[in-house]
Amino acid sequence: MSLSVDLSVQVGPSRLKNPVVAASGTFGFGREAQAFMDLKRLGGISAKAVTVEPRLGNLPPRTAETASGLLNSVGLQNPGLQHYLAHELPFMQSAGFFIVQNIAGDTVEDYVQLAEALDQTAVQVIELNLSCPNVKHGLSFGAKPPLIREVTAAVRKVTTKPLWVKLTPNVTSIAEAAQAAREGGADAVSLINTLLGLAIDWRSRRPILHNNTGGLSGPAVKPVALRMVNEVYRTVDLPIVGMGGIMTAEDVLEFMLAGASCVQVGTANLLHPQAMPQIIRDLERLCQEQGIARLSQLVGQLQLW
Amino acid sequence: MTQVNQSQLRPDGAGLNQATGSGPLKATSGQLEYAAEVVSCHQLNAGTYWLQIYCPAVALSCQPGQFVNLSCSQFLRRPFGVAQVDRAAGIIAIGIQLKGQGSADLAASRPGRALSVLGPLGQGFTLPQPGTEQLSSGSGQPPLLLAAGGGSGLFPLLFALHEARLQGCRTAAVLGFRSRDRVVLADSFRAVCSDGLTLATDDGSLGVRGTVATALAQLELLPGEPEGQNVARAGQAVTVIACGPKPMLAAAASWSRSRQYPCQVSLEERMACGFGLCRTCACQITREGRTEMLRVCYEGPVFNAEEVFPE
Ligand SMILES: Cc1cc2nc3c(=O)[nH]c(=O)nc-3n(C[C@H](O)[C@H](O)[C@H](O)COP(=O)(O)OP(=O)(O)OC[C@H]3O[C@@H](n4cnc5c(N)ncnc54)[C@H](O)[C@@H]3O)c2cc1C
Ligand SMILES: Cc1cc2nc3c(=O)[nH]c(=O)nc-3n(C[C@H](O)[C@H](O)[C@H](O)COP(=O)(O)O)c2cc1C
Ligand code: FES
Repeated sequence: MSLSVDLSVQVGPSRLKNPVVAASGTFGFGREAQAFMDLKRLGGISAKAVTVEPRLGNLPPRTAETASGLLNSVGLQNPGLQHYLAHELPFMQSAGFFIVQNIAGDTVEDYVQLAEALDQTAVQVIELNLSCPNVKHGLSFGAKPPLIREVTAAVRKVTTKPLWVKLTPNVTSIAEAAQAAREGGADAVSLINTLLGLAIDWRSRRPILHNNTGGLSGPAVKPVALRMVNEVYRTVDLPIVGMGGIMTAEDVLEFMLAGASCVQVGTANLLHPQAMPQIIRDLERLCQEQGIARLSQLVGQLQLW
Repeated sequence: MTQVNQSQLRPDGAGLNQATGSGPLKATSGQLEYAAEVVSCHQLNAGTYWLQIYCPAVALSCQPGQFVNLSCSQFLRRPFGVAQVDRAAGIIAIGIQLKGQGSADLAASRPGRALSVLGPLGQGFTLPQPGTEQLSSGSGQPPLLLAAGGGSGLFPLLFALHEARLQGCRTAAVLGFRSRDRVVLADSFRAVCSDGLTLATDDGSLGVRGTVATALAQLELLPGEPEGQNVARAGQAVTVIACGPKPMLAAAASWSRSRQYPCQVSLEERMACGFGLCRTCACQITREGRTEMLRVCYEGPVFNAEEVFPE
């Protein structure tokens, strides 16, 4: 008889049936994917970022291929909070998956307003996307620890929902950024968001992206993500939602060993519609083969030299 | 090894008379990704290839104007409009114009190569329905489908014309090329055009000298046609479909608008997923006076011309 494996994981106050969550912006609100997968099989879905007002996003081209990755500059296109509450959230609730709602804003007040609006809803986790430029400072919210602390604390005041603070890797010290999120009252940190990059069409002497720069994702960023996850795991006492270039179940194990309590899968969904169901099946098989009864036992088990 | 009859689908128009079936067929399952196999790949001219893929599920459900997203040597898949379908044999065909490494890799495919196919993707063309439009126009004439294409945009038009022909429409096409030696698939198109194929070349080495726009403007004065006679017979309903470079689409749209023909255009945009998840393929669409960013891969690639080129 094969070993029964427990894939469930604990992330701060939240229990997920398995560690595989769709990464924000690569899975919409789950509507498109329900045509080809059972959404309830997933650990959860971090839905597309919602802003207070609707956003049309950037002009195309919005993507450029890179070695083992891609740049995107979607520009937070979304239907806005009101439409989200009236149409997207009810759909997600009826679909019955674990809902992580990614939110983004130009000001601290935007984040507070969004969190207040989500506080009494079926959303299970609020994820603060801090990669957006702050109107007041011009920098992204995630760029400076004091800003991270300020926005996290402000949101913490208005909601009792678990807060995942999603950090940008475009910083000098990811550990300081995570520490600031912890001080602000985060329940976990999600890392990493995309790395800022530039792709050039030398013939036209123009950037390929209309926005000039964009965020790099995919296997190209995985080593950077693993290093950051492990650095935060070793220095900050806060659960970690790890991501960046995860394509396979083996990648998930690596992230968990580095210290991630659960993971998010982004770019892989864009290449293989069945990426996440496949990863979940493979995780179970790998655990059986390796005699791992509880997957969560692996978290942080990396032995440094 | 999959059993496929290689003779059943050829770019020279053979296959039109075979029982390839017609009419909308629903996708058989919620599946999107298929393990497929290259049947054949051959060169049409210096930069153009014709790739046949054994993929019965996509062949069965694919509609004209839809596309597939194919795995290749590169990180991302590459989107290609379906150019021909043989439902009985389970084969789809695409035309490939060489651009960079992805198209070159696919064009170098040998028979038996395994490919991962996502499809059928997007919303295709809405073809005229002979019965209803004949009645409503009162002309007794079957409706005319006029296809305008250039560049890599001409391939999906072949499938659309073929399907419209099977459904009893009359069909015509205007295709643009750079020069005579660039012309591809002319015989295939001729075989599915009941009402004529007009070729245009930039240098005038074959057909009309100029672009698709030039050829469209001259369409009603073609040699052999009485002066001033329109492409359509009196009272005949005309639907225009266009696929190719943006300026060509704009020309087809404005030509259609001035004649009050409904026109659909098929757009291209750089895409990551091809099936609606990432919103990287956005295009500006005007609906009910409002600008929206819609997905070329999901709400498109085919849109009504006036939504893409509002007045
Ligand atoms: C819906 C749709 C249908 C298409 N149908 C056909 C067809 O039937 N026949 C054909 O020859 N070509 C077609 N194309 C264009 C074809 O996808 C590109 O020429 C091809 O992806 C180029 O890849 P490459 O690696 O050779 O070129 P590269 O320039 O190396 O490509 C680099 C990146 O740019 C993207 N890219 C480059 N050009 C285009 C383009 N015009 N449109 C979208 N993405 C692009 C590629 O996908 C890739 O991500 C279609 C495109 C779309 C969006
Ligand atoms: C097309 C695209 C859109 C994204 N949109 C968002 C977003 O709205 N909010 C967010 O926090 N992260 C967004 N991301 C970042 C991903 O959630 C993830 O952090 C990143 O892509 C790294 O993971 P991956 O390599 O598995 O894709 C986006 C990524 C991509 C590729
Ligand atoms: S390419 Fe991903 S949504 Fe269109």
